[in-house]
Amino acid sequence: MTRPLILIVDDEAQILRFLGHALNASGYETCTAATGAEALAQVKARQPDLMILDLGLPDTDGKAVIETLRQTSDLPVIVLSARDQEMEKIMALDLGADDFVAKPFAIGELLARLRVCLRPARKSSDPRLRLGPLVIDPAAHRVTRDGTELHLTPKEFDLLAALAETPGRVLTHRQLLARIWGLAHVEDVPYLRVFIGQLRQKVEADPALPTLILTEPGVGYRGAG
Amino acid sequence: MVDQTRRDALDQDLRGLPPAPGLWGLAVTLALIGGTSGLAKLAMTLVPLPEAALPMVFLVAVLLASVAFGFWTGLFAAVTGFAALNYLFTEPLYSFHISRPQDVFALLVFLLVAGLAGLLAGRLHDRAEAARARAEALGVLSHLSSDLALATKPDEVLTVALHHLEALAAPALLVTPQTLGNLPATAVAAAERCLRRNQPQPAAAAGWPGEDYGFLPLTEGLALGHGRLSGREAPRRAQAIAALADQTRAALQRLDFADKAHAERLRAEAFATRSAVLTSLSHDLRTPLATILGAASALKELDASLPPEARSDLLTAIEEEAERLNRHVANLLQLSRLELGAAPRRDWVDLNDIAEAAATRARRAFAGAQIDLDLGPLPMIRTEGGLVEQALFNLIDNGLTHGASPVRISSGQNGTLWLRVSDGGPGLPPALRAWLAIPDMRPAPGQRGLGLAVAKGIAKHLGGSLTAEDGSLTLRLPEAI
Repeated sequence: MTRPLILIVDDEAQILRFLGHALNASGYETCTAATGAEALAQVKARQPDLMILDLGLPDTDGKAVIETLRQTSDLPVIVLSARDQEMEKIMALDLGADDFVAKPFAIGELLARLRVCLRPARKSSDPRLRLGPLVIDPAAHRVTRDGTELHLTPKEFDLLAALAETPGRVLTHRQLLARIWGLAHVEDVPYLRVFIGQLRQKVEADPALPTLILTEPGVGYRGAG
Repeated sequence: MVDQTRRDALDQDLRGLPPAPGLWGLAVTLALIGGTSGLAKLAMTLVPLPEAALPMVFLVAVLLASVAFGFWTGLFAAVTGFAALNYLFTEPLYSFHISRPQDVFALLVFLLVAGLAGLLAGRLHDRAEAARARAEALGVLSHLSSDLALATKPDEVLTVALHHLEALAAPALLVTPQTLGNLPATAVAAAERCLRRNQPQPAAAAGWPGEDYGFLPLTEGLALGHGRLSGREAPRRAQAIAALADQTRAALQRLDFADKAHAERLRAEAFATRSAVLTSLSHDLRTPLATILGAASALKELDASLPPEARSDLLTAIEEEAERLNRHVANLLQLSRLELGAAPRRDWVDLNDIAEAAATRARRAFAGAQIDLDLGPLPMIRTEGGLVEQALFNLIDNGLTHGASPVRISSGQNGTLWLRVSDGGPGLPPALRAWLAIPDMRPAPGQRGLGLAVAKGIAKHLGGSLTAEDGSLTLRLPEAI
């Protein structure tokens, strides 16, 4: 089996240095780029399997790189962001980045995100989704936990299905609101919070300590991966 | 409101009796009538004067007296003129008896005409007087406002106000709760009431205690005192004094606002500095931290799968980044020290020694960096060597990071002592050169790293300067402090 190729885009040589060693040791090939233009050129030339993109690039905005990339490719992108780039991070995710890791990070966190993003698409033989002990049947609109059926409203069901479709990946408030309530409601974050609360009451073993639907503060929610 | 005030002032002029005549005016009038009589007598001995001309001559005297001294004096002139005409010129002469009936009629007509003429001329005189007094008060107020506009400190405002108040109602004085004791005992109660209630306290009625002074509040704990107003001008002066107090209050308020705006601007500037430093810091500190945390966690979690050379490279990265972090923290501390403005700890130093020390430190910090020295002879100067070394090190760091190796340090003397750090690069971008030229201490917007900001701050702190040329930065220090 060939080793997946990861493109690391960061203008800090030291970050490239340690990420290179860490990813190589974890079974990935790496290539690097220090600017947005170089990154897009590398995507064309090397056809990597995933891009790790720092949002603070010297030449272009990281968001612009994602926008350009998404016109031609659905290459998974993990964004590296700093604490003071909260808005940038959310915008990058809304523009099509797959996930984010906040700087500074321990290598284990990045590797976990990498694995989720590189996971092959679901096998199509079984249309049912799984989230922890939950089995979700989109065709029949049924959710069962250990064989017992749970009673969810249609909106709650859609919300759960959305999170279960991409387990381990973050979905922003905007993405969830647009998908379930429509584009007119992308700003109604409090609304979403209420529904997540109701959903947790029904599906979590302990709604106060959720393990299936995880909160990314200020960003969105993540189905357990 | 203003219109009402103006109308009141006008009414004041038209209402009531004209001002009482002065003794001086009456005496002059008597002399005038006497003189006219004498002249008329003299004229009659020389040429036969027609009888009808005599009242005309006296009418001239009455008009003169009225115009010069006002209504009452004019009336007095009419009556004395009538008496003189009767006594000296009407048959029988030298008696107040009047023998001819037509003379009675002529004299009565004279009295009427003289009275009317005196009334009109006197009125004119009085109006002119009132207008003059009003112009005087307005003059005081207009000077006051131009003087107040020039005042830049509360003390100046008060001096100006007192000076002009003196012109309106002497004596003028400033009253604060602390100076109440300096006032005459009878005025203390009114002054204290004025300060406490923040309301004007006019002088008491004549003959009562407190008749000497009136008081007007200015601001909290501050009032103006002025001498008693009396006579016909009193209402107008009171108005002028009220206007003076208003203007003074407005001037004090303007200064207060200006002070507040200034303080607010300083606060905003300090805030901008802090936020610029924070922005720069968040980048400078985060990058080494991200490398240290990432490399350390990689060493821990991927221990088994890391080849030995990768492991040693990660350890080197951790060490280098920890040192970089240390430099950032040192710069940050230096910047806070410079902002506090503590005086430099000067000592005799040789700048060439300092340059060598900075080069050695830089070679240690940046492995493989090529740093050449080209030092000319320099006299020793009194300065803080540690600061100069820090500034030079930051310039070398800048040259190595943004320019091209090798970095060259040269020194020399022409008027000032200079240390120049050159690299093969194009030099600072125009925005940073412009930033270097202004005295502002805070880092330029979007500037990464505090190194240049600290070098600039140190240059200023030591009485020197930092300038940018193509491909180099020059630190100049004065030879003698």
